Amino acid sequence: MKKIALMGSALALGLLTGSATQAHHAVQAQFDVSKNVIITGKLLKVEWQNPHAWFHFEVTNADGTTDVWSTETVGPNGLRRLGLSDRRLFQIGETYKVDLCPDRSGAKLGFTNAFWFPDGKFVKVGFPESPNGEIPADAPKVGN
Amino acid sequence: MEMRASLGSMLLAGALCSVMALPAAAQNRPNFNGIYGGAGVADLKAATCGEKVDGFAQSNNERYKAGAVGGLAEGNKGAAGWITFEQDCGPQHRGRVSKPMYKPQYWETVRMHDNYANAGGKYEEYADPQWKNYPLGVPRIGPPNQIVQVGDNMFFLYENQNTFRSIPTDCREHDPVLKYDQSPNGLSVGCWDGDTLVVTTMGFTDVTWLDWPGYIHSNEMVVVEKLKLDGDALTYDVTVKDPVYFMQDWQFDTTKLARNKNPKAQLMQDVPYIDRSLGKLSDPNYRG
Repeated sequence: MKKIALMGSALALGLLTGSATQAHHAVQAQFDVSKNVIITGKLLKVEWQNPHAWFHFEVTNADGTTDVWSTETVGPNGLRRLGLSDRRLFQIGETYKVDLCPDRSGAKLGFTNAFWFPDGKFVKVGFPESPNGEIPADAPKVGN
Repeated sequence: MEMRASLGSMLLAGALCSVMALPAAAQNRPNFNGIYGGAGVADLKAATCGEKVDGFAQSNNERYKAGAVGGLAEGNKGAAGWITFEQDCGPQHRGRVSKPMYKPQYWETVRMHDNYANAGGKYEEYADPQWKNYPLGVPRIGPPNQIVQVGDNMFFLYENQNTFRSIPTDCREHDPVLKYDQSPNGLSVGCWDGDTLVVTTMGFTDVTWLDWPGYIHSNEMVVVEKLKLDGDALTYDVTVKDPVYFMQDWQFDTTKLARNKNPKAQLMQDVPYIDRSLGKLSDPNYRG
């Protein structure tokens, strides 16, 4: 059922994004779409490019060390249709929370499900697990 | 002096009118001008306040279906109309009812392209050209996102890589030299069959693919697109002729698209394609 829901989401997003955002690889070839990780970090860099945009965050771990997490999204045209092409939304140095599907290899990469903005705004951009954006209770959380 | 200036203006206007006047035949053609299939953006909500935004609201689907923002037309069927963002939807490409019939001597080549499209490295020759940020090309790029019709000329505009096609629709023959050109979108000429616009394109590179499952083609390919309007519903049919690779012509499943009814809708500029993932995926053999 979950798979069907995911496919439905992909189809829905396809409608939203149109042909301009055709991408090159299967999300599942890189990311484990059955898992969620929540990161909270400081935005370092945005790569606004096709076929996917990338967002890079500095995440401070519980022990005070830091890691850079990079998370992929749909392409810029898809983000535009979600109202996210407004460059004022992503401010370098601001803190964001991201729900992502982690990389299969364990690398600190992910495919973005949702952003929480510094002002509390919540936007789903990837594979939502529920219509209200609830995250599985056992999803690991990284960063303060 | 003033009178002379006015006279000059009138003469100029008259001359322009005679130049710009459409041939009688062109005046009677259906008006294809518009944005189709969910392309174009307008009335985006400013995303700066602290509210929850649901990009996947069911109502969006319904709105697209109804053509409120220019999506699929009612009556569309099959996977062909779903132009999706991810190749996780590979099954829907594979699930197309109509498939190309390759000559047996090319089956293994097609299979290799399909199997190793993501692999890179020693299999790079089989890579999907999209990995290299190469244009999709006709017909993989699909129906136009916007059509501009000016007399006996059509301009097909695509968001994808800011692509355009200039198509004279006066039933001319292909230029005898340029028809052997080699580009992703080829050289197109158009002619009317009643109310149906028939666009014939040749002069292709053989680098592009026809679709996700490794569907290659030769540069002898000829693509025939038929576009017909029924109100705001655009019917788009494609037939691919490839005497080198195909046993028979390949006709795509019909796509029906709705014209965007929002007068503020505007086609947006695409940003560069910079993909560096070929051969670097966690699971390069996952094809979807």
